[in-house]
Amino acid sequence: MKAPAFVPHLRSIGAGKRAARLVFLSMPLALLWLAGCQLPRVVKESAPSPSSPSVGAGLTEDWGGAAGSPVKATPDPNTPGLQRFSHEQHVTENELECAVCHEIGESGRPKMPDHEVCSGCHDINETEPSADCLTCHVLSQQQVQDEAFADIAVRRVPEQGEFQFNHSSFAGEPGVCANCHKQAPGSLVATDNLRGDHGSLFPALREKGFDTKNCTTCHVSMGKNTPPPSHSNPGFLQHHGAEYRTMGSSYCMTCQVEKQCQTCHEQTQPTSHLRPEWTRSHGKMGQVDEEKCQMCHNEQSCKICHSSQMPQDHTNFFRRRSHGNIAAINRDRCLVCHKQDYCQACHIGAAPLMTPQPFHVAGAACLACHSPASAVRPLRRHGPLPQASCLNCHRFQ
Amino acid sequence: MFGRRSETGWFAFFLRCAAVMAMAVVGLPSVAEGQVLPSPRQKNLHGFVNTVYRSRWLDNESDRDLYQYWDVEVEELVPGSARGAFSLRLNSDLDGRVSSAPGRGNYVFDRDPFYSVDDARNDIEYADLYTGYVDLYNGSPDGGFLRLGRQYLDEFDWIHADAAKLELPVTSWATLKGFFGQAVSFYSGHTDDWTGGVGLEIKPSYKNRWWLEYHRYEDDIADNDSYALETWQSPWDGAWFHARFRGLDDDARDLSVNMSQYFAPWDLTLFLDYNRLFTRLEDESRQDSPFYRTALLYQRPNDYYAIRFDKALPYNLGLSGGLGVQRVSENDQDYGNRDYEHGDVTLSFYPFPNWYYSLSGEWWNADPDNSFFGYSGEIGYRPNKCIDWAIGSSYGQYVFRYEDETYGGLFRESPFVKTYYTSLRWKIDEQNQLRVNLDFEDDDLDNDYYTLRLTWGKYF
Repeated sequence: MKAPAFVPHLRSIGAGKRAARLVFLSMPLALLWLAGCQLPRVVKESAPSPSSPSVGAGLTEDWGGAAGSPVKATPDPNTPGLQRFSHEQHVTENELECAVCHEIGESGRPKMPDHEVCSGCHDINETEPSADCLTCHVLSQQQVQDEAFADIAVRRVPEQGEFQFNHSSFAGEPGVCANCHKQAPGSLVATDNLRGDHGSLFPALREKGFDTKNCTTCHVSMGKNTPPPSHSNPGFLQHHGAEYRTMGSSYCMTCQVEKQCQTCHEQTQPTSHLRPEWTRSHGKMGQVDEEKCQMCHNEQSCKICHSSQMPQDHTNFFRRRSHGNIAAINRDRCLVCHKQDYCQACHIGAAPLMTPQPFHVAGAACLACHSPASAVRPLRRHGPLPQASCLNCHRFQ
Repeated sequence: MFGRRSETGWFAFFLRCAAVMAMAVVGLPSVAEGQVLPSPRQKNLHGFVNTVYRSRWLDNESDRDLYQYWDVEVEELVPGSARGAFSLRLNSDLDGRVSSAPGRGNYVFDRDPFYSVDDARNDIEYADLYTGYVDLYNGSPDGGFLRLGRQYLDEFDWIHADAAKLELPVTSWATLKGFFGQAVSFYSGHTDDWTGGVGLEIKPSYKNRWWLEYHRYEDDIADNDSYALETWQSPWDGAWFHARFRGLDDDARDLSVNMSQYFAPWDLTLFLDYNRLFTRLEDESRQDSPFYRTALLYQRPNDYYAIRFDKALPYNLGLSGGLGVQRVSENDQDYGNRDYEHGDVTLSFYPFPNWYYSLSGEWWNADPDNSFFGYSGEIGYRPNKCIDWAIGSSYGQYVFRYEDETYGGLFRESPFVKTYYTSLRWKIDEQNQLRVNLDFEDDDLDNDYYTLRLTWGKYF
């Protein structure tokens, strides 16, 4: 019994063994790369390539989440135009309550602090901008060199945007904000995109009695009959399947129900499915991206046809004469449906046809030519010869 | 319970009862027009039963069989703890045609013109159990499960086994899998054959997936260790990349690389494939185990290259096809070790919304002097989504060469095969479907051969 051999012998030579060694030596590197670079967060936060502008981009913009992650990544605090603000220092280290800066106004909307609020602790001179302003405001390197402090543009959050959630129910509850605004306590920027995702928002909202099925609880212009603006993006119809897979089904299901998918997809097949050659090519497509098929189909969908419907070319001639030749040169095709034991079931006792020689007739002395010691091909790999006639297995053409 | 052959009276009774039961179910109220059915996963019990009647004629002989395919899944066998599934085929010889051909494991088709591995004959009924298993879990199978019973281990070379398999998510992006059991060959367990293995699936996103595995197979001829590293990647929009490297014992076994890219501006999909077999697969390798014994198809190292395309053209035309080449390191012109080239092309045309036409050509050239050239045409009519009718014909010119090594004689035959066929699919409602296939075949070696298949699919 041989020992398990994950690593080929180092003495091995030849292309095959070298390849084996290369692959398995590189496996730890691959795993390291996976662990370091390919964790879900990084993959999902990557910006869509220019060639795929619509995949996830619209949703990211309009739903306040990066593609694949409902929570938008915190921007780099050194980005020109942004305002640096260490929530960590103020909230975590100095234990300031959120409401000190973000007082909840009459409309139920938390205010964004202005200079007046900051002046409570910091000296601010609006009339003579100086390098002190760079404590919060970020300018480009060129602007800093030019001391163009007057270029500082104060970015204010509009009073009325797409969101309209009434925070009054949470007023006066210390520490409750971070239940939804999970990124806020550690954020280093002053930005308005520290909102939570639906997954973290909904439980807290439901606890307070909000109707999370009603989109207008938070969104000004969104509802069952008013889809997010992303749904109007060019190419959304073509790419929404990819977005569904990227964002995760539960994200779409915030508004949609499975029935809505079916309403279209049970009536409207992808155009590729309508081509006559689809019957032949869908296996290849399935091999490439099996999960794409599984968005609509399950394993049973394949079996419904493939368990009882043979390929068109499995004719009588194929069954009796040609399948061996086809299998010999393209056995991978056979293995789609059959295991190797399928061949064995017949051919374990199979024998090649006799060639149409004049001496291949009944009563011929077979072993006169085909002795086990001869170099005749059929006997090279022949097992123990039967005691009875060769004609038990071999037949004339 | 289900062996290779169950020649019992109760089974015939069960088979026919099952057919009647399925017929009765069709009488139940069907789904109203426009009503959307719940998806299979929303139903606790779902599956299908395909009942196939097949009749064949050649000269004055005929053969009539009945087959029934069952595929059933129960999502909650025990709520929160277990689910189950089974699939099987019931075989019944209707005409009681007694054939001199023995059963499976014997090569005798010349004694029975209708012989095939799956043919029911000699007035017997029997069952082939493909799968039958239960999954045990705590709360939800998404958190991991233990599968017990007959199953296909698709991750591990599609091993068919009576086994226990554990799937255990270790993180949100990694799942550990392991199995141990007895291999199944032709629906019966192989006594004294054991197989087991472990694998790790890493799936950070649907565009990025890795699979590492090791499994061992022990039988009475040889023990084999197999290992594999496989990945699926979608590096950019429309592109897919797949690669698999497998080892066998101390050797590299094979490498497979597949790529595809969809070019939106041209509505063109390109596929590129490369396969390399590094080692010989024959005696003492897994290829020659009882489970995989194919001595007649032993393989020598080879390279295979292929390119395929799928292109939409103006004027409601579509074109698809491809080329493939195999080069064997030691082309000994033996049965399974020959250089070959292959090409195929299909042109489809949709002049009207409900009609389509297609023309196909296929060509093989295997060294030396074995070839195939075929062409076919099909006309299809789809008046609505419930009816699909097709009629077509195909013509194939084969060239086979037989060689006698002792005397150097070369024998060659080139049969021409014509096939005419028609098929009708009628989706009665969301739960019932009928399919009729009629084939007529004429070749240079046999007389006219007819096949009729009536299939009734019942989905629940």
